[in-house]
Amino acid sequence: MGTPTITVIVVAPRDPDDTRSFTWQTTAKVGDAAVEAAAAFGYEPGTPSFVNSEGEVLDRNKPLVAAGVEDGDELELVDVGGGV
Amino acid sequence: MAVSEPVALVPLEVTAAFMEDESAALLRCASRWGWAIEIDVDDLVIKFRMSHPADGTPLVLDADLTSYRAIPPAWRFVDDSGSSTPDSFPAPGEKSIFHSNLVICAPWNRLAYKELGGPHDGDWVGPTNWLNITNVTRAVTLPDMAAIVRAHLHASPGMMA
Repeated sequence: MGTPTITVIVVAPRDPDDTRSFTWQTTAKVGDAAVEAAAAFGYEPGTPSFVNSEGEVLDRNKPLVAAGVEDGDELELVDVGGGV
Repeated sequence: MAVSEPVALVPLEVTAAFMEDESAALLRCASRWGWAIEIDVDDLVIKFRMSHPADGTPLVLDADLTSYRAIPPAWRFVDDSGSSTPDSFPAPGEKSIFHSNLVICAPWNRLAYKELGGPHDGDWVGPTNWLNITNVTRAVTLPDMAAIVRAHLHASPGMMA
């Protein structure tokens, strides 16, 4: 039996009507998943993460399951590159 | 090149076309986030109204898009008179773009550049180079910029004053 997977809906602010479904292993890092999703939406290099339905930015270094992501969640892409 | 007169960089109708192109996404994002939005294509201004997540303080976030996209918009938190004051500006959270000098400090905000009164002198080259800055907070569309402000607002502990 393999690692469990999780399927989420991702929304990109630049085109909120073009929601897309992604399936990742629950152990996938938030940052790695966000990079994959951002590339699919055509985002240029950056530091993407996700915002959950509570408006909280997910820690890019955590596995999806540890970040509280659940099957069926809707996540919004956001760049979390540092402030200056 | 110093950008003291950004109005000369891009014809008004060109900037208005960019605004109209991004308006649908802005409206959808504002609806998702529970923010009110006004888009004034004639004056090239966008204005959001929202509440601070930490304490409910009413906030106004506006953007002057003069010469967008040759240079980035001028994003500000303002009070009812249109001024940026400690009472109108969110306090920074960790690694925040909310700067203690009341500037949203990001390459996609032209007010962050020294040419226009901001703190950045040379490290980002200048406001016409904004699309090439990749090592810090990055956004190249208006909804993505607003989404980043929202994320930093969520991490803000309250107001500056």
